[in-house]
Amino acid sequence: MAESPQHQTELSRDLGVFTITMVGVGAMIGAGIFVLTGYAAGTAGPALILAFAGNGLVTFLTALAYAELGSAIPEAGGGYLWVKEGLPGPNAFLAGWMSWFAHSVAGSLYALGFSSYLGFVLHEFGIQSVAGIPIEAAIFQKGLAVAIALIFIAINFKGVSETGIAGNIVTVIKVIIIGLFIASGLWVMFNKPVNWGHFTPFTPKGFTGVMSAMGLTYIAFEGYEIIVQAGEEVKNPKKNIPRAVFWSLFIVIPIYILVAIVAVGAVDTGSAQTTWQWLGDAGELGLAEAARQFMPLGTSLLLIGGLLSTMSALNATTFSSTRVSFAMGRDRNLPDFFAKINEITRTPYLALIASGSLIIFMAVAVPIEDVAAAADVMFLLLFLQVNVAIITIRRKYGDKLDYGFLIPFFPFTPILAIVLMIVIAGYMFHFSPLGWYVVVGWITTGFVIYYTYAKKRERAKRVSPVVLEQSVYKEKERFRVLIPVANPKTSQALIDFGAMVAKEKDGELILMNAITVPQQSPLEVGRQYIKNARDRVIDEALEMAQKHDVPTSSVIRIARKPAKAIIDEVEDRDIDMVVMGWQGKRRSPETRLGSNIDQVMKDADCDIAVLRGKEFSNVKNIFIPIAYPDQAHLMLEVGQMFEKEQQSNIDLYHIISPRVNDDEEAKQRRLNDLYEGLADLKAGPDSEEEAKHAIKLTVDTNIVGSIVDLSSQHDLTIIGAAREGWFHKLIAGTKPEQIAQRTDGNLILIKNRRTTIHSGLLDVIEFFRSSEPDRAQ
Amino acid sequence: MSLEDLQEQNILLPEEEWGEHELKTTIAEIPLAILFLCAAASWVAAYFGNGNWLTWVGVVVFFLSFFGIILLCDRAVTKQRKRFKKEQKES
Repeated sequence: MAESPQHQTELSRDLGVFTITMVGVGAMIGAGIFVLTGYAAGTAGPALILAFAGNGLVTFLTALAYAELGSAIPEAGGGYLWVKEGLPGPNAFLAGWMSWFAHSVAGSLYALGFSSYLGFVLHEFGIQSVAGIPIEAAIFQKGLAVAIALIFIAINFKGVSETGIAGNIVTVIKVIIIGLFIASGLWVMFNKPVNWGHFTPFTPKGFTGVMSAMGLTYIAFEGYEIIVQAGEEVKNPKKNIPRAVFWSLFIVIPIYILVAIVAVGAVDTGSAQTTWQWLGDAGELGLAEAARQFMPLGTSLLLIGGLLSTMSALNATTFSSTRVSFAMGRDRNLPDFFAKINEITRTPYLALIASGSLIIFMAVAVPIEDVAAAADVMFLLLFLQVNVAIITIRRKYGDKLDYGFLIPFFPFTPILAIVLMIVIAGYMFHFSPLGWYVVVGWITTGFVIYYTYAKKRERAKRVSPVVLEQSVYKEKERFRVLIPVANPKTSQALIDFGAMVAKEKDGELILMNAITVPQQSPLEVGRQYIKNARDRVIDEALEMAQKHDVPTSSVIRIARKPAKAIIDEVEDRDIDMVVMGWQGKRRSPETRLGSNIDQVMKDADCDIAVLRGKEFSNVKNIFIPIAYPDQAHLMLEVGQMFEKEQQSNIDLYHIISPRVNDDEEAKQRRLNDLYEGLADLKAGPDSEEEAKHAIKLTVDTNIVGSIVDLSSQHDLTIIGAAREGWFHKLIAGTKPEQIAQRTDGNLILIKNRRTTIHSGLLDVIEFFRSSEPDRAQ
Repeated sequence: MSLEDLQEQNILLPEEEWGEHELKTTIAEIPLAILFLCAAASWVAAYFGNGNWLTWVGVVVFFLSFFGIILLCDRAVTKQRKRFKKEQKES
């Protein structure tokens, strides 16, 4: 049982390779094979054998990922943890959200399977109805599923672990029963050679039938996940976890194939009906009906096996779905009540009630085969995420991890697994559109919850704390200019510029100082510097701002890096513009302008102005090289503020390379486009014709050199931040940064606020491109 | 979760060992590729065998190939541990 943070203990490592392999085998040879074989035979025909073999290969590819990551990061979180580590944005939330659903719906499937098996037992004892309700009626079956689900919710509330001696005994009994089933079936088949004819035609429903059956039975192959989840209890996990994953598959996959062979081959329908159709009609009881024909005490034994399997699987899925939602509550992805623990039983009772409700709802509302399909698709998508995560984890942490196993043909193996899982999941739509609709509905709901709720709570957990606020204005719609201040000597220019913008926009100024605390010390250490920051930095900055007669507030935050504090402030107070200072030198060759400016430029969701120079109070000539209309808009707006305040003259240039090879008409089109982007500026040129003349078009082979020359003839240069693609940045650097490095005069680098979609896309590209591990901020 | 979190949980190697270990698989890739192709081909053969002898040949070859694949993976785990310890000593 997972324990509350206050009662965490280290698990003892006492599971050897044999025991842990058996845990995996027990998890796989379970309810999936008992409940789904009939349906899968009805879907694929005798090619059910191929469905199991094919699933074996697809599973093996993902098992390689589990072997690699399970040996390198042997933590109980397993797949959820890796996705959290390896994928950006909402993926970690979605992995938990999908895992919660997948395990809950698997629970619904096992509850329904149990009810069918128990109904069959009652039928065998000649009982036709209970309390006046016929046992074959849907209401009886659904009612029984609800009853057994409630029983296991109660058991889980009392805190019964899913492992232990009882679990091992159940596993052994299941394996023996399946072993007897196979042996009896093979004996019949070899004694009645006519039975081999049952396999022709082999694929009555074609390739689609085989693929659908693969998707339907995929859930029966996912049990090796538990080997990794038990990783903290395994002796020598680097070696034993990957070996157990492989050997459990080696035991289980041939067993499944043999079950398929005897289920189709050993049955005698006694009519013209084919055996696969007969099995399909029997549905979840297919295996029990088959056993009745050729296995001594077959029905009884299979019913015992089925009941035990569905019960143990229901117990395990109730347990795991509860723990996933509990962990999500603890991570603040779901409301806090999910993480509440009952003081007496020490179980997460509210998470259990929520998971139990989901199990019961799905069992009641959706037919069993659609329940199975929904669970299958969800598991496929979860494993697909793990296969993507393994690629990014290898890139970010590969050289820092102790691997017990490394995937061959990396990254092509996980890519192949991803492709195959997409294909199988796609075919599941053919089998159960309803199952897919449920999955899409659940994932869409997950996205909505993430963006409207979980993301904010997740952020609140890691936001840099505000330790001092002075006279913060609460007007929501006011334009806000944030100025990070640290050095009083360089603050004046920033405050003058920020005040000019705030005044023009009828906005306010926020002066912020970030107290930085090194990684090895707790953030609380920063509190001892609050007084110093207020007296030496903030008070002085407030004094500088006073003369501008602009509403001004101040704030002090504690963070690991100034950039983190700035980004948090931008998000918290919906800042419209950040004004930062730049010394003009890079401290590290790995950064473009400096690590803090780079990070703010990348992550802050607002306009940004980076100022270089100490004196902006006597600007006569402003040079603005423009390339793109959307970027030029803000640059010109800033230029016009200087024009208004200091009667400066603005020179707009559009410099192109002769390689562009535009004809006159194309050049005119470019100018028109640029003009249109600037047309709404009130103080802009009066007529369109005048505007076109205001933008000077220059052709030069050396664009950067040309800008540097023109810059030297002006008091201030306003340039836009780079917007070339990452590949161009990688090989050539960016023009604005080259310009910034090569000019000496006053310079303002402007970056526009990105749209949400643009920002999200860039973040995803950056995440996958970067091989830098994420660091605590 | 960040680099620091992983470090705190003792999941990462000591910093002096970062970049010191090879990231190439220890599995015999060519035999593995051959066996995987055999398993895939046997699957296709079983499909087109239509329940006759070719299907059963396919099933048997599938079993054998799968067994071979698992053996190669198992050996790779042992080799990986040996290589890791050797690299550790050298570094």
